[in-house]
Amino acid sequence: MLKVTDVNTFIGRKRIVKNVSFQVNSGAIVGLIGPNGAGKTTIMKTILGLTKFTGGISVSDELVTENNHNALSKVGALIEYPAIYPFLTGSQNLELYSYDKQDVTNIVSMLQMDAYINNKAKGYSLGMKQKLGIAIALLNHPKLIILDEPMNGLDVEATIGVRKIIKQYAKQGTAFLISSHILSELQKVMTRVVLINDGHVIVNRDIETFNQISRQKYKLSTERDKLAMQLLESNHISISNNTDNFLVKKEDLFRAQDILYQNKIHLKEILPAEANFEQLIVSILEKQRRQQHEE
Amino acid sequence: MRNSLAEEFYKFNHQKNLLFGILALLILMAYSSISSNVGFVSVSFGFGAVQWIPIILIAVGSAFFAMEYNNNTIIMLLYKNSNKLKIYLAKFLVVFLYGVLLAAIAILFTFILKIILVGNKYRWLADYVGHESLLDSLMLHIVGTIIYSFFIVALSFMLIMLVKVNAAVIAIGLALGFLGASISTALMKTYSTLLAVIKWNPLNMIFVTQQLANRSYANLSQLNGWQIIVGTIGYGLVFATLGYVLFKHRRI
Repeated sequence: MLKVTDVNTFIGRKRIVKNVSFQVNSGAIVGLIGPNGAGKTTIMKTILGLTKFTGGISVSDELVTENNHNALSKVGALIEYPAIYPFLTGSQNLELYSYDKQDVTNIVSMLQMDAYINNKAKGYSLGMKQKLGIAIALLNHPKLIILDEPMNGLDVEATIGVRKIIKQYAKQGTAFLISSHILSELQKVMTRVVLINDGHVIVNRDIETFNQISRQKYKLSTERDKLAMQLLESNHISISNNTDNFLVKKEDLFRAQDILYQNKIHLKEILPAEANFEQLIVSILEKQRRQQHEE
Repeated sequence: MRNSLAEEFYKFNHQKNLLFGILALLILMAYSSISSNVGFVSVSFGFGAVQWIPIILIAVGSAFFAMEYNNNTIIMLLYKNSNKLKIYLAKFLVVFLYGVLLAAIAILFTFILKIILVGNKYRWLADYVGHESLLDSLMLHIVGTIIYSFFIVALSFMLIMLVKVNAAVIAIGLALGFLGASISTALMKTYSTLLAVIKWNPLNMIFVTQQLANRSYANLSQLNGWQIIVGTIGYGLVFATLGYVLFKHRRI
């Protein structure tokens, strides 16, 4: 659906996006993650043909250039903050871009905006404006939807609603590229992670593979933890102590089980010790910064 | 282009600026009609409409473009269109046509004010010594104003791309409206040896609003009727081109 190949974006003479390549397939929900100023919004604007760039961007195999946006006719977007005319009603804002009245009605109903859709947008709260921005991005059955911080200003109910809609559209084949600083929220919907830092892509993996990183250790609980730990350490298996259990590296897991079995220590529990997604991102970024510093 | 035009008309029609501009024109014309003696000159000037229309247009024009940046809608506008020129031209045409609408309203309101204030004292079609008929004079003033509107819309678009602050553009518009002609005349008097060049300065083009109806203004502008029309349109084209280049390269 979306192919970004070796893209470099310049603002003035400064290169903001550096040799970025990734792909968003139909039905995929790709999370674009990175610290502030990493280049997430610039990448999104570049895909929309709004900045000068080198490299290749194509949507449905049709090239996007700064002066040719034909390929973007089936792309919906919400970039930075909702693009809304305050002097128009929510309904009029939607009609301005819509080709299909029924589609507008469906989207309004899905996002539960019926109560205020005919009011002037200037009176909308932050959350209402955000919903309208998302509604505009969903118009005309797009094949690709680009959402920059879509959960900004949304309450819990609306956040759950938007998450459901994203999943529903993705199920029907719509591709999503979403950036969000609420990583836990993004984690619930995305099927692939693209982590960028300082304009570079540093991780580009499907969510399952990415989650493997977070399962590098296993929690073990036995009937005699103290003895078990002594035994494993004497066999050169590194362990870390927890309150009710201890942690063993993934690569030592089978050997640890064998040692415990040979010594007739019974296991009560083995569980993957999942690192917090946010902690994982932070540790990857820190690792990358350390590497850059050493270079 | 048709879609862009339809979108721009839709937005413009729903903005309050459209009505505010018309209201401002009517109030200012009414104020002019009661603040000075009503005579041939004031009626043929459309009770000051010749001066007020360019000022209203510069404010409305710059606001109409600035709102796209203020509301972040410029992103939608640009990514949904491949051709930035179409966007620019559509906006330009809408604001210019608004100028034509203001001119038409000014004519109608001039008729109404004249009937209310002086009845049939000045006949529309009668010949007056040294002048065309009152109707011809009013129409020529309005034609001059419409030509100047082209210049002023181009200027307001270029300025909003350049200074990016709506209030600053309006201030420049007011300065042009009230001081442009005097500054130009003063410049030509001060540097009389350079008159052949200075008479083509953009501030001098404001005389197009008066000179078509009253040829004696040629003594002030130092340009004949055709020269001032060509000069005004020429500057309009230069400003429009510069404005477009700035728009095309403006970072969002």
